Amino acid sequence: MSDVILDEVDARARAAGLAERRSAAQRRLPDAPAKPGWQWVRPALVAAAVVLTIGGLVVIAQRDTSSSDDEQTVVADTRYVIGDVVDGYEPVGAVGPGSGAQGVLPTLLWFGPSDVDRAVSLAVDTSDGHDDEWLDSQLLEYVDDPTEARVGGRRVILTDSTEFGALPPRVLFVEVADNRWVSAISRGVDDSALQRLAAGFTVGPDGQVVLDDAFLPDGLKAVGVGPVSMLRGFLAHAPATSDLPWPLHQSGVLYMSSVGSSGGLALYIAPEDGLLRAQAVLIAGAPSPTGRSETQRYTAEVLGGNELLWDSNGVSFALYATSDVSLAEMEAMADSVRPASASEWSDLEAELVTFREQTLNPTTLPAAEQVLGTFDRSLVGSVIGTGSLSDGRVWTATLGASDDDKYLVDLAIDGEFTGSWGTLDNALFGVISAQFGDVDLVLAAWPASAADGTELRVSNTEGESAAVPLVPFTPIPDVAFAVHVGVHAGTVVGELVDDSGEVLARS
Amino acid sequence: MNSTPAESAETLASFDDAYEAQYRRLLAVAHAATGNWQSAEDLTQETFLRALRHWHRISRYDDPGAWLRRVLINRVASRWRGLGREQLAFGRWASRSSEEASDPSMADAAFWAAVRRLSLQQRRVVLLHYVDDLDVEQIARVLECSSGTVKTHLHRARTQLAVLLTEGGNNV
Repeated sequence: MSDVILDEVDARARAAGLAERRSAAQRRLPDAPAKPGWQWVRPALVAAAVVLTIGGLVVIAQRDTSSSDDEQTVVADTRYVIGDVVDGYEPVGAVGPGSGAQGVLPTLLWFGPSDVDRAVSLAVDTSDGHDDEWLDSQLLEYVDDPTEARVGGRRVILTDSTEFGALPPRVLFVEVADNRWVSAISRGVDDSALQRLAAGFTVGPDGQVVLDDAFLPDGLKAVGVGPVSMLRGFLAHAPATSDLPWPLHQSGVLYMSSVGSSGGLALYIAPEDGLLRAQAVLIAGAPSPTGRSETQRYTAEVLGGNELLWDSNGVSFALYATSDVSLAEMEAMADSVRPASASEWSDLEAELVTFREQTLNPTTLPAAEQVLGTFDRSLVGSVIGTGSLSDGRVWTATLGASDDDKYLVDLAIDGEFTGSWGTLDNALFGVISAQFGDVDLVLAAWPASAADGTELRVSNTEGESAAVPLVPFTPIPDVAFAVHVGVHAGTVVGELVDDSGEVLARS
Repeated sequence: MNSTPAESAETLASFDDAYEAQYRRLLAVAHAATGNWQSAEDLTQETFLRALRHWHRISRYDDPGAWLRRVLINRVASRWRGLGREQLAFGRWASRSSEEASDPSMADAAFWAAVRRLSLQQRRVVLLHYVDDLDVEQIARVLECSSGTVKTHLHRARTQLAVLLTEGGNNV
């Protein structure tokens, strides 16, 4: 990346930062908060996930949670689909149950109401070994108004979580041993019951933290094991999704708009009666009962849309829809939910793989380091492609280098450096398009070992198109490039396709 | 923790000073981060509310302003992470239905949209450097890392921004 370009970015960033400071300076200064009872201007919106730290295991006494994964893999009755999908939507795939990708969020032990009309929920963090420093950071940054008590000779702290905005659930920290804390998060459970719960944690001889369920608050029953997420990790089964942080033990079917809108639907099915509702209670507060169906359902407002929740035959359902879908339409779809046939489900699982490949960055590419090898400055300047523009100007794309020794692509017109594009890594193994002055550059970079890619197709909104073959780059044999440079009208799109014409990546 | 009336008055006075001096600066950071005034005000006020509750402790820090910024940046990051999970889960279309749509009147919205595509740490240093106008040493104190780390993130952020800003056919 040239210093000129970086200086331009720096100048633009300084101007943008100054504009932000000026805009903020013109905003009204609200009254300073004052203890107690100060409220902020608008309650914060619901955040997405429980922030708890992963560690070891908590087990419920007399209950072997280590078998939970096995249980998840044999569940076969959570394969449901929406029978009558709202107009304009179509299924794009399904996952589950039980392929069980391991995530980085903690597994939680979930407790929901024994009486379905009560909005109570409790999740026990299955981590242990948190130290005092962890507790300090939690108290300072993620919770409000901690109160401390001693229960059975141990420190117990109760606070409001700040992770759920205006409807904070309560967080319980219990010091189960010196410098060792466990935690739980709850809604609708009073503090005295949570303090009694604190007395139920003990450290077993094997070092595991044990919760004696005799100490569970009245009105709660165990409903399942699993992490929490509002959309519940729909895509977590696919390979190379380490950045998708939660394992998924329920099934799900994804639907998206077939008419180009931004809408989406997802049907989640968990093999535990009440689990999904317990999660919704914790995240969104008390879901509202609906009266339309014979089946008691509940609605909850979640990020970007709504969830409709219900239980049937020992299975819990959650139907998520973006806000373009009305609650009446959601109810109608819920009415039509039916078991999927084995072949139907199998097809949907296969379709999801295709959907992921087409909509997310390719995840099967080899690592950049494996393809590019050790950075070799002597390769800088190697020609990737060259050609002539319609007006006779000659363009040349060469391998460039960043200050931190990464490969870039440099473009020169008539021998004069025009701009650079970088960095060659997993993020750029795909198709990029850029404009330098009046010139468009469309470039595909693809690991040859990933096979399949054969040519770069370039088109613009004026209906013009061109195709450029993907050619191995001799200095780095496992990289192939296709470069198209031209002067175009309208928006330019590049697609990397294989022999059959299937699009592998697009800009 | 109980405090005497005199202590409370002194503490609150210094808190008020900090609030008046820092609120809009932090608001600018939050707005650049979210592209949304309401979210920015929520995040900024959450930060000061937390500060007030712990002010007896924070006010004794060498640099209470660094603490305020650290909390704000962490709150912003929590918001990003939450939205990021939703957007990942719903691929290309959830981002358009989320509540964090950018303020269309935001100055150079394209630039801040590009910033929101940087890595978390790059975003942090960009916000603190360009919006909060902190130098490398000050950012290092806020983020509790070395100044060399800050420089690295800043350089990588600029490089990546150059890429992102030309991606849609725009000039840097």
